[in-house]
Formats: sequence, structure tokens, C-alpha cells
Amino acid sequence: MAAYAVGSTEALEQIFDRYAGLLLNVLQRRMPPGEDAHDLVQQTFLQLHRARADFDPTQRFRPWLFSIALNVQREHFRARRRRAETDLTEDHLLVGACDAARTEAAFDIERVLPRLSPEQREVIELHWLAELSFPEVAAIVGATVTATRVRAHRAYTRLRGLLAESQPRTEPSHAPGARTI
Amino acid sequence: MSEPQCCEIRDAFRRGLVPSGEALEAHVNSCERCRNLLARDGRLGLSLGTLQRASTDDLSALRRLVVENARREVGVRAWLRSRSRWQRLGLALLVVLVLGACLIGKRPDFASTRPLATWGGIALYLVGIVAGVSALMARPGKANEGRSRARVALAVGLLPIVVLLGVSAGAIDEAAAQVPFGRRALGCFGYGSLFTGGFLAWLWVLERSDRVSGPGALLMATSAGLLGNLALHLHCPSTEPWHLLLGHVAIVPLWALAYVLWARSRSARHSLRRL
Repeated sequence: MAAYAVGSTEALEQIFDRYAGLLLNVLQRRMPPGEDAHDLVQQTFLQLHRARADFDPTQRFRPWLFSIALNVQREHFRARRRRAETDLTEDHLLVGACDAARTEAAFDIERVLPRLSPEQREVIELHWLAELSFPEVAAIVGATVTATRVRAHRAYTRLRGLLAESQPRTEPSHAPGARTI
Repeated sequence: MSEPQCCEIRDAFRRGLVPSGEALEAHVNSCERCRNLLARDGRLGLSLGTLQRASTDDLSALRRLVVENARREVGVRAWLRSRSRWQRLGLALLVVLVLGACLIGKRPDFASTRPLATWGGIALYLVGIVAGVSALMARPGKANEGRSRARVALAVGLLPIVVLLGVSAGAIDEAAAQVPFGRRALGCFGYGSLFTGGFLAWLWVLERSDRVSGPGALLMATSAGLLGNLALHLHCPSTEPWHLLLGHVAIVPLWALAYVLWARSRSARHSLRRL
């Protein structure tokens, strides 16, 4: 980022290679069906380029980048007068499963995720999809690390409960494998 | 417990695997989040692991556009927009100071009255508003949600200053009183609009985003309208309420409305080059 701040295009390309995929994943999940997030990623990098002088080298880069991205997305939703969190319904679930068990699991999670509050979903998506640590998520959502951890814990607990409710009597049919760590 | 272990567990689930092992047991005993993920044969973890990820196989076209966008950012406006937040704020305030310095000798009645007391009060009020709004935004968890509200609050908070400037006006001189009311009001409206429009254009040049939000546009237009009223205050000593209302104060809502509508239509039309 330091090289980029002084105008190196190569540095911008490196930043793009490192973060574009993550950004696309997080932004795409929050888009309504039929819209893709490529424009927003493009807009995010343009804003990043314009705001590069504001970056504080003593701070972490990734939360700053995601803050820009989420602001760009909020502005996009505001401009379109749509709700940021689109209710997922069964007819537009994006299930990229490779087998029946994973398809079922994907179906379950997509069905219960919208039942979390927007704040809880945001934390889960940033932590799970964007692979951000809790301090990083906290910086983006504007909460303390402790509050973010509590929010995530409640979200995971609620998700667990909701999944159990969805199939109370059947044991999980998927047991793809075990990994020792 | 330790963050790397949590990450390993997350990564295993994302690959469709249920992690296990002695080290895991120790970790899970102290980490409630991972315990949730692993409960019932890792059902929650496996489900979260299937969360759809957008295809990122080929981002080369997007990459090319991003680099082209960055290369196109040349010229005076691009240079100004890329200044830091504080530098841009300084550039905006510089215009206000220069304008004030240029117009300060225009009203002869200021020699006998004490406008510094009014200006000091206004300055204190401004500091109070900015401090209040900053505190509003600094509340934990409200940084993002509060941004729009803070802009609206700041814009609304600026309005009493316009009234204060009007109330503190001096007395109209006899020569000016001979000019028909409509012409005087229109003249002041045009004069104030000149400064308002000019300052608004300057703020637009300094604005980074191509899509200015409604609250953002409202704040910019109100600030510019306030500057227009300041210019009028330094120039026109009228005390007539209707003159002040139509010739001075009306600048703020009319310019705010016009600019917000313009910003919205620009925002709706705005689009980047498609892939």
C-alpha cells in the first residue's frame, strides 16, 4: 500500500490480485438476484485509488478496504432504493454443490441465514467469507471487538438452533470426511 | 482460543471436511464458537462451508478495467480529489476565509456596530455542532449507520446560522430603500446564488465519489447556501423580514433542493464501464 500511495500501478495490480476475489465474494452475496457485484468491485477500487492518501500505514489495510467496499454497496442500494439485505427465497438460491449432501447443507444454510438480524449476518459473512479476523470485522462494522465476538457467538448459536429446528429428527446425512488437526 | 486454530477449523469446513483430533478437543473446550460449528457432526460448520462463493476464476477483464480507471485519474480534479480528507477540508475552508477577507469592508455600518460578537457566537455554535455530530458518529456500532444521519443533522444544524446572520443585520440606508422591493430581493438572491453556486461547484470538484448521496448533497448545498448568506450579510444591511426571507434565506432551501435532485439524477445515471 505504501508503494501504491505514491502512485505505483503495479502495486494496485498486486492489491487487486490479492483482494478482488474476496471482495467479489462478500459483495456478491449481498446483491439481489440477477445483479452481479463486478461493478461494485470496480467502483471500490476506484474509490480506493482516490482515497489512497487517507490510508494510515499504522492500521491494517484489509478492514479499510472492506469499509470502502461496504460503503460503496450501501450507496448502491440507496441509489436503487432497495433493501441491502435481500430475502433469499428458494427460487433463486445459489447452490454450487458438488454432491447431494452438500446441496442439502447449502440449501439449509441459505434458508436459515436470512433469519439472522442484518448485523449478525454481516459479521458472519465478513468472518466466514471474507476471512477477516474479529478485530478486522469490528473495525468495519464500527463496533468493539468484544461486541463483535458476542454478536458472532449469538449468530452461530442461533444458526445452530435454526438448523436443528429445520430437521429435528433426522441425523445429518452428510459425513464427507474427517480431518485430524 | 487461538485464532489460527479457529481459522484451520473454518478452512476444513470450507473444504467439506469435519475436523477432528486431540488438539481440537482442547480447543473446542475453550472456544464456544467452534463448539457450535462442530456440534451434531459438524452440521453448522459443513453448512456454512457450502456458502456459495462467486466465481473468481477469471478476473482479468475486471483487473484491466480497474487499472484503466486508475490510469484515467489525471488532471486537476483528479489531483484535488486524491488529496487527504484534511487537505480537502482545508481547501474548502480556505475559500470561505478568502471570501470573508475580501468582503469584510463592504458594510460601513460594521464600523459602528460590533459584528465580532455575532461572529464569535456563530463560531462557537459551529464548533458545538461539529463536536456533537462527531460524538454521534463515534458511538460504538453507529459509525456506518450514523453517517447519513450525521450529515443531515449537520445540515439542519447550519440553518440557525442563516437566521442569526439575518437577525444581526444592520439598518438599510435611505438610498437602498428607494430601490423597489422586488428588485432588491432579486438582486440579493442573484448575488448570494453566485457565491452559493460557485462554492457548491468547488465542493463538487473536491468530492471523491461519483455518486453523491442525498444526505451528502444536502450538507454540501446547505454549506454553500450558508456561504452565500455570509456573503450577503457582509454586503447587505437590510433588516426587512421579507427581504431577508426571499432574498437571503430562500437561497438555502432552493439550492439544496436543486442540488439534491441533480445529484440524485446523476447518481441514477452513473455507471462504470461494463465488463
